[in-house]
Amino acid sequence: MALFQKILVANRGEIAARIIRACRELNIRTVAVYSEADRNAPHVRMADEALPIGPAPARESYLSIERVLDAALKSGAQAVHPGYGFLSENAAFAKAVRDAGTVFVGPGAEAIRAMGDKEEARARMQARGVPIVPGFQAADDDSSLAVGADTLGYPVLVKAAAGGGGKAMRIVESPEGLPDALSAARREAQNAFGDARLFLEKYIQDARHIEFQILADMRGRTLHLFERECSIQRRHQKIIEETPSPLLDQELRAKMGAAAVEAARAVGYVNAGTIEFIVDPGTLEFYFLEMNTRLQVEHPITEQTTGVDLVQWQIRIAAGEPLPFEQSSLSQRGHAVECRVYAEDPENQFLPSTGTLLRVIEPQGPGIRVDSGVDTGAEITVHYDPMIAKVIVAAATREAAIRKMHSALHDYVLLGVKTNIEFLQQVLHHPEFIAGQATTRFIDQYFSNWISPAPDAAAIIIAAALTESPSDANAPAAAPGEPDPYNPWARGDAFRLGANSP
Amino acid sequence: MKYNFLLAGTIESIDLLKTGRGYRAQWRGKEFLIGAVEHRNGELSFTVNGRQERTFVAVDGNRIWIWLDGKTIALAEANEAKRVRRMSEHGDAGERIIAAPMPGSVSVVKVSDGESVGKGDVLFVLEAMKMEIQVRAHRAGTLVRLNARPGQTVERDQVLAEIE
Repeated sequence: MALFQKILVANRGEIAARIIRACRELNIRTVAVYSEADRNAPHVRMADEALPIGPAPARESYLSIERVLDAALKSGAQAVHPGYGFLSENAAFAKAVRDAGTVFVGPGAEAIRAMGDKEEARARMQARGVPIVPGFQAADDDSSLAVGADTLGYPVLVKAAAGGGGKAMRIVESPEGLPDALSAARREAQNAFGDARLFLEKYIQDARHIEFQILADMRGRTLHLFERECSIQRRHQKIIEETPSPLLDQELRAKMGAAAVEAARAVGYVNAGTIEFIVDPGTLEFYFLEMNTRLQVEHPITEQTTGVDLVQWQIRIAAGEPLPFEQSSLSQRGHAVECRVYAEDPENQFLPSTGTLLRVIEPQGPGIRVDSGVDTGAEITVHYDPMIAKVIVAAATREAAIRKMHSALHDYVLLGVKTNIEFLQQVLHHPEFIAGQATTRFIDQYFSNWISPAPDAAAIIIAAALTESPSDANAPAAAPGEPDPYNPWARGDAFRLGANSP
Repeated sequence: MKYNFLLAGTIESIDLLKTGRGYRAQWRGKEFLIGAVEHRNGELSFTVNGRQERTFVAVDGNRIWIWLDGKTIALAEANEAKRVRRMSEHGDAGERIIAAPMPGSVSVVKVSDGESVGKGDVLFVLEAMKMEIQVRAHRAGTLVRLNARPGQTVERDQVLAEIE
């Protein structure tokens, strides 16, 4: 029984590959879409069909509702899976897909819209009794915001109402810094979201970012699949995630899980989503931060510990299937960690690194999973997100998982662009990370001017010279200096097989 | 045979002499005996003074990429090394060159050829992978040889303009 005949994957890179694999296991045919830059990308080759949707810039391809919808209709797909990023949290896209008679694998457009407006999301949570970060959103003019900031108490966080992802956000330490922060944030918000509305939140300095996975079916069964700790962030971009969180005990987990379910119910949520909380490690108070109405990048760690395939469940829910398990039958086993591999140069202020991947060898072994959208020969360009792969490990304990991640990252060969792999290794070695106490300030505190430890220069330089040296030196070796006595090619005479020598 | 590479901002010279059993290398006044060299399909292994080393290598024209024991290093070859070194000296007050600090596309050009600029003035805005970077004048002067247009894709260290 096929849930759908055909699904169009409205995304690229590793998540497109992930969705295509899930579809294949469910016996569903897949349609990939690709920009000109992704003509030879792995996700294109993996799909059953592929349609071009425009030039490289995302705005003209993956972000174009018209082009993606056109491809869906042309291909005859019954459903569209938006992945994460791009159009996944675009309410207009969800609506357009449904208006065209196609299933959108995700929540309703109204839920996307309600949670996409950060001010409205906070208001709804407050009405529902879900604790929110203390904030101010009663008015949007600069003088009201200044009064609001004084009432809240500095430091405050200036945020855009129309979107998140760290964009148009400013931390303000004192009243003097507020006017500039407001004007800068308004400019960025206008550029990023087309909406300059701002609100304020109290800035909790040493916070833990802990999010809960939600799955809800069309019959109203809403469950959580436990938490993910995502405090290791650089410039509001997550780099390492893990589950279970070292901070939570069963009681706090149950309380937060219940709040997450309540938050999802508040907007009649259907399908997979994530509620993000900020936890004050000192008081163990938790506050709703925002909801992501889509699959998260870090979903694999939940899959590894719960045994639930989230992408397959997204598709099943969209096809109308009810969730066959209850909250009490869900549990987590062991510990999982994910590291995001970025094409960036940590020694050049983490600026993007582009180029051709000359060689890719992904680590493997028990408990090692690599979700990637690249292989040898892939072009890393300036047009898209710099994340090229995720390394996920699962083990019985947190210590074992960290050891396994070290081993996996060590074995990951990526030649051709700079990556943050060595940086990740150093982060994993840090005592505060090992103690499970890292907050969202961890990277800034300990890794602001990171320099990679010096390599074994002699071996590197010798390897480089050997690589450069003329090819006779690179011939497959018999033991050097000892000729093979049976090698006919080394004979100087006129030996021929099957004929008399002259 | 002598080779020169740029590694971590320093030019390194190594002399590689072929022997019956492998090579003898001289680097920074030290001697190394290299043997059991096998280079197949990008996997290069060898022994250095008896110690086994296993690497993966790849060349992309002007750079050699090497994976060794969990670390990945890129070295530039000698003539390339000189060009790269010159490019990395932009910050000096005496240098004229304004170059792209990362690969990206030029989203805004804020100056025109012949315009007077002050130190710290934003000259260009580059965009890449959802990041925006402002490229500023490192000194005051007249902007000349403007070589950037909105929408143009640039590589890291590509020259965008000069300041006289």
